[in-house]
Amino acid sequence: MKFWLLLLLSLPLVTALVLLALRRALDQSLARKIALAGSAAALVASLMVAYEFQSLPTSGGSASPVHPRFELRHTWLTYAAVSDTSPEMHFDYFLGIDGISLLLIVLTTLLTVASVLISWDSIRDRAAEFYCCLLLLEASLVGVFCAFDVVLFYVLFEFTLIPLFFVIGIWGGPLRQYAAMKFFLYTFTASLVTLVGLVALVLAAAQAGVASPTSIPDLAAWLTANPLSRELQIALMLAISTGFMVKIPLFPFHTWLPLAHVEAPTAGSVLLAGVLLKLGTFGFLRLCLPMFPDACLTVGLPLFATLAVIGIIYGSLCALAQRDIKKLVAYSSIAHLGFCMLGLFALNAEGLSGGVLQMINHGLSTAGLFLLVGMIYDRYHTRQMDDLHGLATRLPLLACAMVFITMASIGLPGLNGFVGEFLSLAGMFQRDAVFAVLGATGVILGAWYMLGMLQTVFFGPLHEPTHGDQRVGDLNGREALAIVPICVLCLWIGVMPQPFLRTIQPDVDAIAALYAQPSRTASADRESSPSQPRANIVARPGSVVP
Amino acid sequence: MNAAIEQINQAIAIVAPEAILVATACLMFLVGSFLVTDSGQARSGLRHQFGVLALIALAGAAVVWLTLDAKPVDQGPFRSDQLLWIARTMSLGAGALVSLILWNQIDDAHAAEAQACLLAIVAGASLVAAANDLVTIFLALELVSIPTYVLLFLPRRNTAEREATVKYFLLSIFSSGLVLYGMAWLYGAAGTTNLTGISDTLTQSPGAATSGALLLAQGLLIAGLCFRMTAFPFHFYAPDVFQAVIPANAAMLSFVPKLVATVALLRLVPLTSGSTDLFQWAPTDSIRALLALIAVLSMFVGNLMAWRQKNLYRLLAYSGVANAGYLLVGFAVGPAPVVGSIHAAIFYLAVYGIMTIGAIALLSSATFDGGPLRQDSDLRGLSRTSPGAALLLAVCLLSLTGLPPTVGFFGKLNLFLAAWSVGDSLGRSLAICLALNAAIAAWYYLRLVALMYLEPMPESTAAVRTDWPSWTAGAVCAIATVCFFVAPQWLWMWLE
Repeated sequence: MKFWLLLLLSLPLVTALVLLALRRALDQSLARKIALAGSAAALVASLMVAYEFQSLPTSGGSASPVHPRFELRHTWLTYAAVSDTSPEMHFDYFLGIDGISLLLIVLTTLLTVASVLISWDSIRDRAAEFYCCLLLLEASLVGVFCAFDVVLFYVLFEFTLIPLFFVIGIWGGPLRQYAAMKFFLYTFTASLVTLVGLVALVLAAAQAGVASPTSIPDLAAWLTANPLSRELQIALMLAISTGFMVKIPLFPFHTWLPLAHVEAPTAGSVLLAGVLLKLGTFGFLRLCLPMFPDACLTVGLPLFATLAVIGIIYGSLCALAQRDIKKLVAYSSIAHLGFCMLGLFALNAEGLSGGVLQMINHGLSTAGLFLLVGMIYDRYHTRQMDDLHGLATRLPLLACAMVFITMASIGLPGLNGFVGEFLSLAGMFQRDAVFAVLGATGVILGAWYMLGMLQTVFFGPLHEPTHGDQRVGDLNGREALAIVPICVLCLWIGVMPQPFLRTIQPDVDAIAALYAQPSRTASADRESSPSQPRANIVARPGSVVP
Repeated sequence: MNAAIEQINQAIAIVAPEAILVATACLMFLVGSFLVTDSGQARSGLRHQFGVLALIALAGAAVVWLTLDAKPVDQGPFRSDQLLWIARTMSLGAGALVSLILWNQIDDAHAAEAQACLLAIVAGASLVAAANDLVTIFLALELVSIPTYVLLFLPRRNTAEREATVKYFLLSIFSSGLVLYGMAWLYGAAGTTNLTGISDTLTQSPGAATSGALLLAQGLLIAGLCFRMTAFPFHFYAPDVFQAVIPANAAMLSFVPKLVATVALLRLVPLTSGSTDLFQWAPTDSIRALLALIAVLSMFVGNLMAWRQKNLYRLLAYSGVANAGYLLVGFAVGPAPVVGSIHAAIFYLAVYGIMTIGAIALLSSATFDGGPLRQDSDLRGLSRTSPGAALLLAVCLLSLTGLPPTVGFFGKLNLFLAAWSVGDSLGRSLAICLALNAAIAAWYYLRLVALMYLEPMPESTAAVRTDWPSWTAGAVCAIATVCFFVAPQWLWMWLE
């Protein structure tokens, strides 16, 4: 496990450095082959990690609601005690794997391979540097998901900005500079607020005598045993969640997203929508939900659920109004991430499972949509719905893939979107039916704008822009290689979600156990089997029973 | 008799490295003047020999220092302690880097004097930390200042440069006067010039720390030293001087005076509180308030003014003002319980030195359209004309922003942890100001990175030249920022 995990982290990093070092000597065709080899090897390594993960014991009875099933630590920086009475503090390179991170890691490595494949012909200028950025992004994303130390988490969370800044800014569309600067400064500023919150939390823990105050499992265990006062919890939660709210992005903080998506090259959009946005929800899941249960229940639930519902409806309405397909997909992301947040803030096992699954589902389906939109753009150099009609006759396979992914995205039963949205909304229904009902309207709106787009662009009489002598061909083998695995996974999760749900179940249950459930009967018809109740956590004083 | 001889031996052992530097500087002054013809011409390539000689002298000083016994001494004219160890490492390191930047920026005829002045400045910076007497500290401060005036004036390229030198000279003299006046009050209060003696006397008289005379002394010392630190409101000379002088001098001015001022501040201002451990210095409330005010104003003024700059060196000068503010946060918050605030400040100083010298070295190593880079628009397309320099410069700029994976992140994080862990409202407000300023500063550093990478290459037929010694200095700095991020323990252990 240790070997595969380190290999998984180092493969993209080493490949990126090789590309950077040899960028003068490499032409486009060699650079992309090296990048493909590196990312494919990382995918294999992540699958090996997943394979070995099956045999790891689930550490039941842990005192912490966050517990990696495998861990690897090395001291990073130790502050020796300043005086005899003061505590020593240290940060670690603390890597670990739990079910949630495992799924997201495999999603990242899979989408990176797809990103390399989709950029195969379209990135000609400075190709080695482009692939270097993509692989650095992959390495840092995998790193965030494995990080169980607060400082390491934050460092990698911040680092993801740099490669994506270059990907958008150098290889993007006409407004790329503005989009890249806005994306960077907006998210950087917000994550500084997160840093304030994290520093306050870590120092409070250090002064309370926690042995390793930056370790997320230790922090969570300490906060479970000694809950902070509600006011302090609320302040810390709001500070820490600021960076995540912008990253997701929740409703009033979403303005950077459509711009960044429209200007980014296809590979950038795929990774941005597919994985990067999940850093926000993952941050909630890793830091806010396990650490500040009182705050999440009293302030977080009404606040974030309201913002999520507004995001769902507002994002869907914006998507309806778009004529640019890519922008439409970008706004649909805002809506889908809203479902994700509704699921997470249902604060019960169904909702959390649904939220996590929705993270994966959105990663797959939106990445698929961006890939297909990119393929259309490569062929016609336009993404305007007014210029493209009836493409199904010209591009039957591409249209077929588009219909499939669209169905997955709008949540057709039997495909992955349905499972995630259903669990999220079902979880929220138990917690607060109003949010669930309002959120459910997003499903209808989602079907409306996605099917409307599908009908305009792919069906009806053929009308395509003039495209010179260039022959427009259907999906080629390379493109199929990028999109087919995504379709297969969409179907797999839709038909048989149990393996995925089982992977995340212990982690989700551990978090859900922190929260009092509104009624016992409702949780009896859980789809996933109930966990061992942790009496000491459930019955702890200070937990709020609404 | 034996005791006196032993004390002299001890003192010589402490300052032997500086003696080597000063002796080499004298030798260079002497020999240099014979190698120049009456018309001011010199054999081409002479600068390489003096550059090598300067590096050898710096290496020799380091070797002598590390081989001599380094036991702590706090009696006599010189002292040897943790602060000397830290200051000497930084000044020798900065000296080597600036010497490399200076290498090709000075003509052959003036290379001997320029490198000799640099060695004298390095020696002075270490001596400030070694001095155990008000008089020696003042002499050491002047050993930094006077060669600086000469060094700034040596290239004599244009009137702007001369004007800048005169401006620096006049204001520097004024600040030296302030420091001297502060020292006089200190002497008046304690009746001795020996630092250990002053500390003993003042500790024994209760209420000394809050007496008006000592507050005045501290205020004057802080004002005089803040000039060197380019902290608000003593920063007005910095942009003009940085803009006009050669890049090597800008690199020197961006770091060495800050180092000197930090060391002198730590030696002189805590004397009144009678603290035995400098790293546990607890300033009185009025001094805390003064330092905090200067810190906050420096951060905001520096960063907001840097937004508007078109000239790269003016921008870096204002960024230096802001960084002086960050540095002063470490002094203003007082002793912190988890992460030592003075440790954090010195860590930041070292990190800032690496980043800013690196950035200036790389700026001066590249060319735009055949000429030096001066304006921000000159950076356009640098990632294509000089990809190596652009990448390394981007690393330094990201480090100045405080982004991972560079040690600039840890520099700010340490200060932030220290300020927050103090736990009072002053510490927390300073921490929040720091975070806010990191966000403000990100904009103008990022703009430079964007210019290098995101803008198309301008039409130019001029050949691209690279100043390799300067490039080397920059590369060392950029690589160091990444290495110290991966293993910050090396840098932190050196402080403890």
